[in-house]
Amino acid sequence: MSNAIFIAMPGEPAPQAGDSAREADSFAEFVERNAHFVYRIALAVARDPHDAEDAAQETFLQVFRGERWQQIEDERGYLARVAWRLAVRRRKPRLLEQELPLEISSGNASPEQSAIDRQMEAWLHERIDALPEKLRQPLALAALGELKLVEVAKILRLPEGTVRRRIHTARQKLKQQLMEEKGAGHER
Amino acid sequence: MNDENNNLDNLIDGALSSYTPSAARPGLEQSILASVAAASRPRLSSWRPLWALTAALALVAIIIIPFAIKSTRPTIAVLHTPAVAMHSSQAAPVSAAQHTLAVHLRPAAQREPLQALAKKSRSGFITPLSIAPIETQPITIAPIQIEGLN
Repeated sequence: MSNAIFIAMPGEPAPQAGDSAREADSFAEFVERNAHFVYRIALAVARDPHDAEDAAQETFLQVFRGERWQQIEDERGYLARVAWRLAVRRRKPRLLEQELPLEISSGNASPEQSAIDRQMEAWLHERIDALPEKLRQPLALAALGELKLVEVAKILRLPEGTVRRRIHTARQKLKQQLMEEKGAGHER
Repeated sequence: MNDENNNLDNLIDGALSSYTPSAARPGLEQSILASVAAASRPRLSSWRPLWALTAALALVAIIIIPFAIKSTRPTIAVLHTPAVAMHSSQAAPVSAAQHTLAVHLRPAAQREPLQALAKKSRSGFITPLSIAPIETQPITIAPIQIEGLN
């Protein structure tokens, strides 16, 4: 496959019929099939939509330049691995913002309660962001709901047991922080 | 305690499910394809061929110029064969066109020892003499008289 391939844009005819055009069409299908998945992996790691989009673009560019994208056996696993690696480079360290008083949900579905739930979610998202990367990444990748634990382990190049343990530790830390916040809320 | 634990688990699960939004911005695929197309299109105005050509020319010049300079200089070929043999018809002719000077070394037996040569050359030096009295006397030049002018 030549690198000087024309990628047909939607509504734009390919300049020539033949192998090159067929490859372009098939690469376009390959992108269509995986773009959102790659973007979500990148977003779970980088936590910034612009960085995630850049990482997704670079992922496909690297795969295209590699010239072997048609021979990839596990394309989702391969793409997830490349996207994760590129997104990790873009990940900026995040510090916890100012502490907000947290009210724990009582389970009622009133508008007031919905606002409390949203506040709770934002509070928890901040705590997840502040987790050490070795705990946050397995947790975030598993939370996507698109990857099995074994796939997360392959992406991170860790044994499955280590990934499971790290996810458990991350959840325990979050629970502990919630308990502390709940205790502090009662004192307030 | 167990209920509380479940409640906390539910809270964490809820937060994790919304941690990474499922929807990307519309047109993500098109922007990816556009970036790939832009990167894969051949660039005619690329400077790369020009740089390659310049580098190749420079390399050729570096290799050829020393040879060209060397070929115009006369070379001295030192021949260790006896001089007599060289004058015979069997000796390889030294071409004048090649600007080659042949230096014939005499065989070691016929050569004078180095110490004798050194003495010989020392005796041949001009030794400075003391200034003669005639050289220190001032020279008096008589005025020139030309007939018919005075």
